[in-house]
Amino acid sequence: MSETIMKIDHLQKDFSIGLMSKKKVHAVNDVSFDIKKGEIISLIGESGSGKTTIGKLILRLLRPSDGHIYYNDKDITTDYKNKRDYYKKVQGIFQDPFASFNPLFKIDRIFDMIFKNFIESDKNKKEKINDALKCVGMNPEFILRKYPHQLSGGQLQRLLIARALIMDVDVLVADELISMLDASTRIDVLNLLASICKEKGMAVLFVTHDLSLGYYISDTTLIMHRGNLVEKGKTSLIYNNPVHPYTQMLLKSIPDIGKRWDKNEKFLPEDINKKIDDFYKNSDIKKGFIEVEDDHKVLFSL
Amino acid sequence: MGKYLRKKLIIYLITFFFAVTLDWAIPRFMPGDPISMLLARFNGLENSSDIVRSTFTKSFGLDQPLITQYFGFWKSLFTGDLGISIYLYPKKVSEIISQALIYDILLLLPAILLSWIVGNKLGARSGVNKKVDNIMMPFFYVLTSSPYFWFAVLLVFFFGVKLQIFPVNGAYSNIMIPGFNIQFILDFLYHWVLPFLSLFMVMLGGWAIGMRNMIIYEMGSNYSKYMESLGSSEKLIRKYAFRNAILPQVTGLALQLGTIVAGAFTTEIVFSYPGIGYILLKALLNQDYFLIQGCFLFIVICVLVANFLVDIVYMLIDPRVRFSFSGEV
Amino acid sequence: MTEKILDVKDLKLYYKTLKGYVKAIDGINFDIKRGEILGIAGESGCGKSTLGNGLILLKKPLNYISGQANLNGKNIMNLKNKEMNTLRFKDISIIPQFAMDAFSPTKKIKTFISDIVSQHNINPDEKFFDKVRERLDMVNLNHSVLNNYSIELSGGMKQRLVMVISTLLDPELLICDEVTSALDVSSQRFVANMIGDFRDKKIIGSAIFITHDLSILYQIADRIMVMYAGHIAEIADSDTIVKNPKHPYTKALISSLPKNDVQYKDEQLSGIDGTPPNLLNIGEGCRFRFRCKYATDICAKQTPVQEEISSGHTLACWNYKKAGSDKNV
Repeated sequence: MSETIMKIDHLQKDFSIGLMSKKKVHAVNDVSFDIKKGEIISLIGESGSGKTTIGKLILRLLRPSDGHIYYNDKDITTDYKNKRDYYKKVQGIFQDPFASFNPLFKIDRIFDMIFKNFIESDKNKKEKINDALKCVGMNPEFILRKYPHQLSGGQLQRLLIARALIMDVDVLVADELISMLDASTRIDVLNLLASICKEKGMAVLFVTHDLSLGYYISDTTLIMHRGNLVEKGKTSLIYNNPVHPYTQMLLKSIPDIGKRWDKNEKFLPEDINKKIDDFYKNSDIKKGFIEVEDDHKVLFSL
Repeated sequence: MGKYLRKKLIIYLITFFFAVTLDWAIPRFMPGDPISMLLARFNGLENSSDIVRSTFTKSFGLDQPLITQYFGFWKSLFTGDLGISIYLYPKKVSEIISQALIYDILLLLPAILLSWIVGNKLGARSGVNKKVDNIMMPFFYVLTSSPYFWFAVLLVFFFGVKLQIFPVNGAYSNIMIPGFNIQFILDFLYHWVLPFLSLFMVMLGGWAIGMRNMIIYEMGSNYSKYMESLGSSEKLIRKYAFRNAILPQVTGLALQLGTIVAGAFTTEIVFSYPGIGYILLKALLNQDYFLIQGCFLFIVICVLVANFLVDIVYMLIDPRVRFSFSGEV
Repeated sequence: MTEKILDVKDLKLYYKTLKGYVKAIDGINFDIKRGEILGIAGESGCGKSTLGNGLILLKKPLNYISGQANLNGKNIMNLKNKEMNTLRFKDISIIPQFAMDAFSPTKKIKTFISDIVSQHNINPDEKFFDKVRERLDMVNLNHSVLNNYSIELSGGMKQRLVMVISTLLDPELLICDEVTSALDVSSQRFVANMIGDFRDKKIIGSAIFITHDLSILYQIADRIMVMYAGHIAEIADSDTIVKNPKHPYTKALISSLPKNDVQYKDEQLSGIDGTPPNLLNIGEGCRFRFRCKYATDICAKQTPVQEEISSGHTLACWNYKKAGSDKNV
């Protein structure tokens, strides 16, 4: 569990807005974290927090403005070759499973293409595919002859996971993997993902806005706010002892089944920005990203 | 917003530069040369032809190196001098164009504006009424898919040749002298009807189909549904839909207006109507460099100006465009 | 809490397709009392949104087949569109799923409000807009939004604005269709609380809150109705639904939700195998039987009837007693 396979080091991504304006937005601002073998990290944030951008940077769909990403100690931000080798080991699954499949290809053809593109030997091809499909709880005989539109969202997500299994990836970036799925099916997909991680040592970066699912599945939690990593640490520590006002606010606004919200508490989304500003201003003693306890870091000032 | 316009202006200036360069170069790449054509008309004197040729070549500046001709063209452009026509020697190009332009404006402006107004009304009507739609749409499709010249020939055949109600040739009778008197105006209008109709009808179909599709799209949009859920009358929802559906039509109108100066090439040829299209054809057939240049230059300027106006008008009528450039979103 | 605002009896709403009927709402019974918030939960395709939209705006291809939906004692399913228009907004109103594009892009918010309230013979004078401003204060929106176009507003602002507009005429029944789904968690809580606030201040009589997220319903709904594939599975007050569900589907659904004290490494939650059935031309029988571990022969033969097993607790299941005693779901 302790072996670090990917290191995100002071990652920065700026976007300029407007047609010709020079104004810059820090979509990702000085973010660092490690991904260990077999670890599930949930990257939590609201829309515009930069969580998806981090996923894209790791998948090399975007180039960072500054900072580095090391995969097995190799800096992938400067190494522009060997993209294919990288994709053999680092893969992404996205929110819309229907958009991830070519609608004209049957499932078996899609799996064939994995072998063609990423795996040199065709040895045991059929066996590998069958094993992977059985592992995600699907019947190969039945599923391989189907077109994507004949399958449900949950089934397609499982196929994407099976794909990662065949390729035996090290890091899987799952961006809002289950947000299009219904409550009754999403938990099974999560369980599957978690069990694979434990068995095969695959690491997952679970990008989501859903705190309760993040809590359920992840070992480590990262909280993003406006491009900044505001809190990072062991999941149970962050959920039980949140320090940053933004994390506190997020946790308070989870609708929890079994406990009702305090109705007397005025809950204005506008207030939170002021609270965060005050927090940054008043933290005289502590500056920057600081450890408050073992495996729990908080951003005290920008 | 000012920034946006400035940027657009720069783009238009660059476009203008390339358009003018092409405009100058293309006639010169055509095989043959205009002086021979001109001389062909003076073929009575045998030995003198060489002298006349060199005189003409010099006077048009065609003996100079190409690069000098090119810069000379830019220079005269800024002084407003478009040169002298070779084919209609010694008429000035600017004079020929301004004369032809009057006929184009009188023919095309009413055709475009009226077809736009009527087409939008009819299109909106068929967009909201299924029965009207079923009857009208086939007509619109036939109209918009028929080529201008074909429709013009049809009109000529029925009204000019078969029924002989309208004249089929020219902008006015040969015996008339152009002038601002009631007799000439009546004669002009008499000649104007068929070309006008041929343009009006074909354009009408296009506008109507565009409007109909936009209205159906807008009526099915979420804001229409929301208004319906809040108990708004069909009339109010239609009004809202129309306001949004008209936006792309305005762009189309402005662009169409920019092409007025290009004339209606085929229509003018069918009717021998002395607009710019007709002049341009003559200029091309006679390799009249200066007239071709003049006509194209005029077209380029007008199309660019029209596009620029569309950009401005769009900012005024569509808040989405307005705000997307002010950095507030 | 005794007066029924809405009383739905054996209502059937089908989508008409070329292949036959999609039985989206197939014989459901429920009611809403004054001052109550009824939450409707279910997975995508269970008919919850069809029901919400069908109550206020019955539009093709959705067809009314049979049954009643009595709003204040009057069956609104039989009404002509004109009669229904007088009820919409005043008696029954909706916050649609698509708040993000509920406004026409070319009209200012103030114009839009004036236009739609004028449809109900209300004079949109300054006095009326004072009331609007008061409501804007309630949802913490600046008064200046009235002079904005929708493009200038953020998603959260639009959501709150739609909330204000939909409730301007103090409707007796407000349908909230997935109002929190598109929002970030921080705004979610505010918007959901606001609905309860509006009810407490008697701005709205009662509300139907439709969402796929049971945990939000638990926060704000008095009663929860769980739907599955066009049928009602279970209706009860929210505490009973969450803590003591009887229907196998409700039980499975509740147990699949993440809890605040369960982590994967300690305890594993389980989902429901399989997918909901296709509703096209579907026949008799319990629609959950394919995924239900208590299913018996009768489930395939007969559609379970809704029965009240205790006061205020209704469900439709042949085997709920067997399921109810099973603690290991």
